[in-house]
Amino acid sequence: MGDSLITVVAIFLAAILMFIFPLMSLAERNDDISQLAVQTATSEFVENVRTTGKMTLEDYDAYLAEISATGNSFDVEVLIQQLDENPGVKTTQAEVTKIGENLYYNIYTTQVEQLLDDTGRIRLKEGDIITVTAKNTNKTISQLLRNFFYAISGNDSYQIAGQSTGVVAVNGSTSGED
Amino acid sequence: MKLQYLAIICVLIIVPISMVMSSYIQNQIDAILLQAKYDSNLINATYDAVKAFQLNTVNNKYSGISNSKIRDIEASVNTFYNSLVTSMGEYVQSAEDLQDYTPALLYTLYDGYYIYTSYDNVYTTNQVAVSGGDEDRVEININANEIDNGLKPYVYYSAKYALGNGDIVIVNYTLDNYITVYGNAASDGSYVARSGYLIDPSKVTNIDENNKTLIYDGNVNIGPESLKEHLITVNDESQPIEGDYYYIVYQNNKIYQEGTGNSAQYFYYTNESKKSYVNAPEIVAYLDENRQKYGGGDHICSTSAFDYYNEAYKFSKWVIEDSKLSEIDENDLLLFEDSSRRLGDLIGDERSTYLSDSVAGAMLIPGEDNNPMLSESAFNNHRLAVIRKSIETTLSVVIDNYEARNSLYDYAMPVLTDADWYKILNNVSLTTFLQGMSIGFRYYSNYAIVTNNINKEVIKPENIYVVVESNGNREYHQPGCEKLLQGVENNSLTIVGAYPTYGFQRQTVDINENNSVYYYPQNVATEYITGCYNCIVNATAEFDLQDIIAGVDLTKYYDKTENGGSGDVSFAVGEYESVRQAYMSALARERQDIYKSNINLQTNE
Repeated sequence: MGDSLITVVAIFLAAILMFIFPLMSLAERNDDISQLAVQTATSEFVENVRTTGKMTLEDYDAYLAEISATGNSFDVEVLIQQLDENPGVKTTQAEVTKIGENLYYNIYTTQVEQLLDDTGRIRLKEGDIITVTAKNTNKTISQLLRNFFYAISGNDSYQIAGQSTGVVAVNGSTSGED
Repeated sequence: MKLQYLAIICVLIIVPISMVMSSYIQNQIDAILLQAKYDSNLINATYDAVKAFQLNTVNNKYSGISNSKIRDIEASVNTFYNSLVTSMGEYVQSAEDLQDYTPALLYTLYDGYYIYTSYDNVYTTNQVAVSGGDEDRVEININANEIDNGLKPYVYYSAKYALGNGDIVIVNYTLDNYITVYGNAASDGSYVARSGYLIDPSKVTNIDENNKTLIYDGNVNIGPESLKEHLITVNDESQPIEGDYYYIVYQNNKIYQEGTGNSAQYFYYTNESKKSYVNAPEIVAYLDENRQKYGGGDHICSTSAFDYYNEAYKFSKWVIEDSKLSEIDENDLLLFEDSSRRLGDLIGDERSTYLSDSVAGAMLIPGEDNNPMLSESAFNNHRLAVIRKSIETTLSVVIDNYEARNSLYDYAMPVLTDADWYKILNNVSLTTFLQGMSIGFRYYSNYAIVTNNINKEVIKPENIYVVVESNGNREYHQPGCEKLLQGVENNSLTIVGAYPTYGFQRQTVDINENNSVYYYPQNVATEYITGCYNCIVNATAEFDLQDIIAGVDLTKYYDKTENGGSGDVSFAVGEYESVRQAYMSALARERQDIYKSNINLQTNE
């Protein structure tokens, strides 16, 4: 009786150690590699927008395709903050040391996507700020396995995330084929 | 064997493997993050350097002049290193350390480029007093091993061409359609050195030299223009005084008019924000005459737009009719590496890949189908290809030499993409290379390109804004803005004029150490001028400036058939005539007024 109990425990232990532990470890490495790919793609996308001053539908689609190629689904948030210097113009003679005369208008993901669909590109200008965040929305294998032992719940329980932000350095070109 | 033992053996194998794997991947992640951080630092530092150059040139009234330009660039280089050192604080100690990792910084300017790099031809003279022998003497040791960093001499965007008779003609290009021709290029074989803007001369008609009027392209009326700027000057009691003044650019200097009619006085605006009154009698006489003739006795008027088209017309006529440039085609280009060979001597791949863009026929001869003002003309394609080859050749040599001196890393010029070249060749820009920093198991190697939109070096088509007025409110627009074109068409907006972009930048006047005031040059008539929310704040000008320059019907970018659109025309040529007129005058005027180092070297006309 005692022997068979130990055998059952041993089989359980052996199963965990021989299958689940390697699987978990492998799945986590896999997520790490996805993480690498997503982070690289996100910063490249943002750097490209920063130095060209425009975001095109092609670039955005290519970016989405690149991060989806990791086998996960993502929630991508794009935030464009457009600099408006006009209020500053109207107070030219105001206190010199005063900062914050300029305003920023925010454009969020849905608006960005709509603009891209309508016109194929969004032109930005020097001083605008772009932020891109990508988080996985599916459960990766390592998340599933982990949930098996200890559950993590809530909206922000992502495993793979890439984020990049920067100030646009040039005005998007308005002539030529660009 | 018991099951438990099997499990333990399995764990013994798996645990080390997974530990090594995880630490390896963690290293890779760290390296990628570090690389992303360096990328972003590099762009930021490059941007800071460009911004420094921009601030210095826009606030400097003499920024065009060569000495002043070198100073501005050196300041910009310092800014680059300071910014990079600050952002990389934990890895780099000082700017000197960084110089080991930056093989070159490339500044492309209007008619050539500077490269900041290391050089070893530093001849430090080391004086040693030697006694003995026949007489005491001082020996000077020349030390050629010392390495210093600095700007290499300016390289013009020039190309050499061989004529049929073996004579060599040199053409200096610029970022726009201005060229300089040297060599035995006159049709009788004599030596010439001429500069000018290349345009299609058949577009210029009805030239009236006396009243300074002409017609460009059938419906653009060019004539004297009244230009006004808002300034803050500092008087002798260090009090700031605001005022609006008419101005013109005369002999590369801006001259402002104070007061109107016969009581008018003229002044230069100095770097110290003071008025320096014009005393030279011949200049005052010229200004008075200008005021009487073109401004109805009231104020001075700029004739630069007329001069641009008129001079460009004469120059282009000369190129077509009295020069040997029509003999030259692409095959006559002499190779940059070896000027004893022509491009036509190359064969196969070497020939087809030497220039990035190939054009047929005499590309220097303007005409109906080769209008140098348009970006897709044969002249322009050839110009870009030549400038690109010139920069590529020089830069790869510079980086190779750098490598010979510095064995830290295998420095090499990276392959820049076409999109990168587009940026470099179309504007004043800064390209920085950062190579050889260790990140994890690898070395970092990347470059950053930032273009400079606001400067006094070059007037690109997009560097002109159109000012309009509506119910006393002033607003500035990009010429391709739908709101502008619509408003002008239905008469709700009145065009006031068109000015270069730096006129809308904030200028600073330092009154004393802790007091400075700001002004915007285009804030005239006490009205605040604001940027249009459609094209300036949101940067969504829908129409291509090339279409406006060419004078064709305007179609939105995404409606164009080549972009998969419906081909719908939004504005016919006649509907945006007045915007085009203001824009084409301003483009011509500002191009005429920028400082050029190569103005008619021979004739001085």
